[in-house]
Amino acid sequence: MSHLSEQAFLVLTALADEPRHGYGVLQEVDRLSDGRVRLAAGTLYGVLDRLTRQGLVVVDREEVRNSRLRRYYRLSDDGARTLAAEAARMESSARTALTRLGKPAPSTGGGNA
Amino acid sequence: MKIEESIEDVCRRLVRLLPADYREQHGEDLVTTLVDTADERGVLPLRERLGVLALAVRLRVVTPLSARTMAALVTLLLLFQAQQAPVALVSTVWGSVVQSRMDYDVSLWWTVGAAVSSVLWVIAFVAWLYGKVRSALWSAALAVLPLGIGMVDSVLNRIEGRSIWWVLGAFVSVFGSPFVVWSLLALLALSLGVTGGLRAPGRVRWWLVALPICAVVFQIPDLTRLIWLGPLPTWEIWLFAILVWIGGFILALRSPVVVLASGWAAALTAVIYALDPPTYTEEGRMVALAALATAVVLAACAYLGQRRTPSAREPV
Repeated sequence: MSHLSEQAFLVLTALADEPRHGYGVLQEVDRLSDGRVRLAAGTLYGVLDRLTRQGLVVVDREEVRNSRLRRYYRLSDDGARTLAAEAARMESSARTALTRLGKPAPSTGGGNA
Repeated sequence: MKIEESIEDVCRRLVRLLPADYREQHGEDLVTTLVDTADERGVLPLRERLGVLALAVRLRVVTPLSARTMAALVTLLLLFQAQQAPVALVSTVWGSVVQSRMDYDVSLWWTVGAAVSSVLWVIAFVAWLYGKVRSALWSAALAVLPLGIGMVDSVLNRIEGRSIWWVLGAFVSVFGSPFVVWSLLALLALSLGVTGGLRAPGRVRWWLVALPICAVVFQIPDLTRLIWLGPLPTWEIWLFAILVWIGGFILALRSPVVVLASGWAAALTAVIYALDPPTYTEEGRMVALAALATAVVLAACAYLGQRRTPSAREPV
């Protein structure tokens, strides 16, 4: 399986705990990356479209408020597995890098990122 | 409230840049998200506008080169190579190259090489259609080999008394000819297709039917050259192009993907002829121009076909 891009990884992570609508995902990605990655809505929908086609994200539900449609997205089982695998891979790479630099790797308390 | 209405109008106008089928699926949701990103003055930030613009470009320009279009393009390139087999075989039997467009001496290697190569292209084409991608790749690679040897041999036959610059120039000229570029392009596309796990789209039997039809149609320009002993007349080049446009128009509703792939093939033709030395002749310029026009017309046909029948995904 090919690696996820950083944007895709952050979008999947944003959806890991609960379903979110588009703007919710944008805010969560901003928060998760400490403001380093600020997705534009157009970019987010490009990423969501790709992840949906790959079966990693599915539409959870739709709500209409103030005559505006909001679509909520959530991780599929495949998406959760892919995210877990990618997180483990990144953790392993990070550990290797820190070890080679002679710096202790921070404890993650069980292995999951 | 008034400001919010106006920002919604701005977002809707922006979202109109996206293709209709995408808008139908995600448009309303995207408008809601865009409205949420507006700043406290109710102005949509520039980066959000650019984000939608980039998405529009990706969906309209990049996505048309999707996996299905690439698969159709690979099949078309192989079809183009395979359709040359009958003439190449006949030429070998007669001991002369009817189809050769080059003005240098024809060597035995070249005639036999061209015949062997064309048969291997037919095998590659059929293997690709039936999903035997490894066999297709091997056949295509072997098809390029005798062609290359024949080309080198053609130059070496005339090397005596020539300067090193002449030899280099001859090699560049031979390997830059459309005939060779097409072969290498077909091999490259097939390699990418095999690596990407692509399969020939549509029904095998329709592609098989297309083979003899193309074998006849594509010989018309060469027969014209033989009959008139000169370059193709401009009117014939454009007549050929118009017939392709009509074919694209008819096929667009049924298989927009194949029509789109044909558009890409036409665009490649335009580039190859534009870069080739014959461009300096009237014929080369006309072929490049007609191919470019054909690429645009076919892309438009494919776009309209896809819009009118969004569910028409099965080509041919």
